[in-house]
Amino acid sequence: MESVRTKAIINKTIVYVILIIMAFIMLVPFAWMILTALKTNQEAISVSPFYIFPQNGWHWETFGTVWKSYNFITLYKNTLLMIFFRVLCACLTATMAGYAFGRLRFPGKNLLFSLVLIQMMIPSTIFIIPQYLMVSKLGWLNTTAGLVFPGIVTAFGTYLLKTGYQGLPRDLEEAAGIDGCHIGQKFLRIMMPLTRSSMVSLGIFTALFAFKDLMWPMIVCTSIETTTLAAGLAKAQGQYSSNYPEMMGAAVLAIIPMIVIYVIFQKQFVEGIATSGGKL
Amino acid sequence: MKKTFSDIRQQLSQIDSTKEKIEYIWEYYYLWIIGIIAACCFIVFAVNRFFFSIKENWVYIMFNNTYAEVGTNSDLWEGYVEYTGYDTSEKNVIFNNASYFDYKENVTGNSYFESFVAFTEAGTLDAVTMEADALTALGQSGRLTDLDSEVCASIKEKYGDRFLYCEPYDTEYSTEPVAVGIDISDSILMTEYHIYTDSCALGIGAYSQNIEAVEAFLDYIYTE
Amino acid sequence: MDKKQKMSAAAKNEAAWGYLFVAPTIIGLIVLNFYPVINSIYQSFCKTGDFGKGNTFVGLANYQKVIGSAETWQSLWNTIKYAIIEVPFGVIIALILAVFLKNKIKGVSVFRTIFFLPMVCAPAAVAMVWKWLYNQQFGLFNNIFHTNIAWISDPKIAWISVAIIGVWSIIGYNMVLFISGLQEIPGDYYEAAEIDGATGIRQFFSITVPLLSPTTFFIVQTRVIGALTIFDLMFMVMDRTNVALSKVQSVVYVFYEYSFNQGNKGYGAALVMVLIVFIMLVTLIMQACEKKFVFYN
Repeated sequence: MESVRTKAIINKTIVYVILIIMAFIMLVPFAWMILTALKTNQEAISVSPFYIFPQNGWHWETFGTVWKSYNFITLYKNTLLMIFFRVLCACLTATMAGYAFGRLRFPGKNLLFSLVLIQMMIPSTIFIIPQYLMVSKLGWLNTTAGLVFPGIVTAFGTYLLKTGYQGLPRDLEEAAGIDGCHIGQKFLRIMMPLTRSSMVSLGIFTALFAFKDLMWPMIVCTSIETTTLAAGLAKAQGQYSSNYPEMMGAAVLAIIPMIVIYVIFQKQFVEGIATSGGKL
Repeated sequence: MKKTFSDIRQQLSQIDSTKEKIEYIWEYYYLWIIGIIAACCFIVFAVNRFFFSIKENWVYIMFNNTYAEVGTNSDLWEGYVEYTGYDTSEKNVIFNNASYFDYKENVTGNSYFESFVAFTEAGTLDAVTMEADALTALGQSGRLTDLDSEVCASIKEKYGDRFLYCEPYDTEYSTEPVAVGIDISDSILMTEYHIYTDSCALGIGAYSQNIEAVEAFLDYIYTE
Repeated sequence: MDKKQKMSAAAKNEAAWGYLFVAPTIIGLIVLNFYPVINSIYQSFCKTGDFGKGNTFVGLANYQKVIGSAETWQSLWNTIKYAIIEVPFGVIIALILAVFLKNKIKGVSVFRTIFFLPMVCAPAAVAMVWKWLYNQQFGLFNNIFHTNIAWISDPKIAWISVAIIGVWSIIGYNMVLFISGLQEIPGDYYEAAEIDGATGIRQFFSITVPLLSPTTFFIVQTRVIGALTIFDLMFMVMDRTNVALSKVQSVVYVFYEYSFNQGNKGYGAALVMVLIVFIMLVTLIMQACEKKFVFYN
């Protein structure tokens, strides 16, 4: 019994060591962002004697300056609105299509699904100009609708949810069929709740892609009042501005809502086990 | 067993009252009904927007690489609108001064350059100003109008002596230098607004629809 | 023949629901994505009209140029090499981390959040950090290993350096997907295995790997597509003047250079079409393998 215990402890230690090393590797750029924000500009741009920590005092006030000089409240609001609607639309359309592709039989299914796959193979720069023209014709420039527009459907999400639905056992659906449910009810009441984990990861990715998208908001929302964090910061800073501490301070403030969203979403993973695990 | 269309039709025939029939149909087809109504609404809306309420621009001018206050609603903008007499409630006059790229340097992955390209190819962008050497470098890519072409005839007449030339990448178009920019270093943009330090040049977007408005802009910056 | 023409009422019903469910996605994809692509296909047969001149139809001339160019094949080979490193390493490391994070250990949320951070970091910060790490004179790697390697300007190793950044930045994505896939494996399988005395590693290979195979296949499939269309890593750490660029640049990077920077959309479009055909072939092979290796219950 003793040896089993020590073995377990050793195993756990190994796991922790690996996790901590990986965590350290993953943390580097984030730490670098924060440390840069606390430096003076001179220190921040010097490469030859590279200072990891600020030498001339820790300039916490950078965050205050940055907060005042950008309209963060508006930018947060715009970004969160875009993320909310994109996640809503993507989850809705992708879960329906994913269920049909993963569970139902209909002629032309493979052909239609290959459209979904092909969409992922095309560099997105090809879509930008025609989509911009559509949004401008619809009169949606400088609106949230214009920001959400290309994210209404998602090929990635459709494929993800298709995989999720395929993984569910067959007999579940048959049991529901005997109860007299039609396909729509079966989908809504039985199948959809079971793919919760896939939906959560789709939500995370949709939010992430929307958050990181720089080119689309820059083209569609040219006014600082309507644009998102990524584009708003880029616009305010300018390409040639070399005030690294302020740039990084703003970037740190910008990613806070994204981290909060992620933490909220990934909590749902944990709950997923309790509600749907075990008795499938 | 699963309900099929024929099952439902059979069951419907057994129900007498219309109200119950509707309720029955609603219960089975609400997803269909909501989906189709939503789709119809969107199509009507889109068609309506596409054909009836197109609000285009009088002009769209991009002031590249400058921190000067020359954006929409600035003094320069107001002076121009007053000079041309454009009704800004009908169409927009847009001055964009938040764009930073230098074609001489690396522009790969520069989102300002990407939006410049998108605006140009969509025909939204009418004119762009930047330093003279940067503009002639940009001209090589063929994204600016050839000022010797017919559409720019009256601009050539007035400002032909200020033209800047570049050698295009596309040697099939021309092996001779092509006129892509107008040197406006002595205009009010430089003397009054100081938008650049050394030189200033203006190019016209390759797919611009509002060349007269650009001409009016040139006239405006040379009136005073 | 008769069977095909006359579907049973139930099958018809199922098909109708199927079409209803895929309709929003398919219509959206056609309007938002495939209409622009058709436009690009048309452009690939045209010589782009510069300086405001319209396009002229030139037939297959662009394709002849693309296929005849050594640059095309070099960049395709670069892209394949990149994918060969990024996909397996990105998937395996992420899988191991996800399995570790499924165990009930302290600080799971903290670790999950840390591994997610690289994805939200400002690209400028990521680029700066990697440039510093790879710097030949002052870089951390050369200082730690006491070497003098030109990590990103030596044509022989630059592609590996870029692929390492690729692996690093993709681990978080794959990990989130693996965690979600792991949740869907019923816990009682593991309980049963524990009673049988199966160790952690045995459990991993006999339960986790087969039951996770749909998720794994999905990740591998999407990552192969993603790696073959890689673009932003190339300009992130490499300058245009870098001598190793021609040995590292991906197909999409070359497409971007032509299409965006030089305004030669016709050539760029033809190049993308060649790439898409290549990815489609790879995807077809992978889809054929799916039935063999993937276990659906």
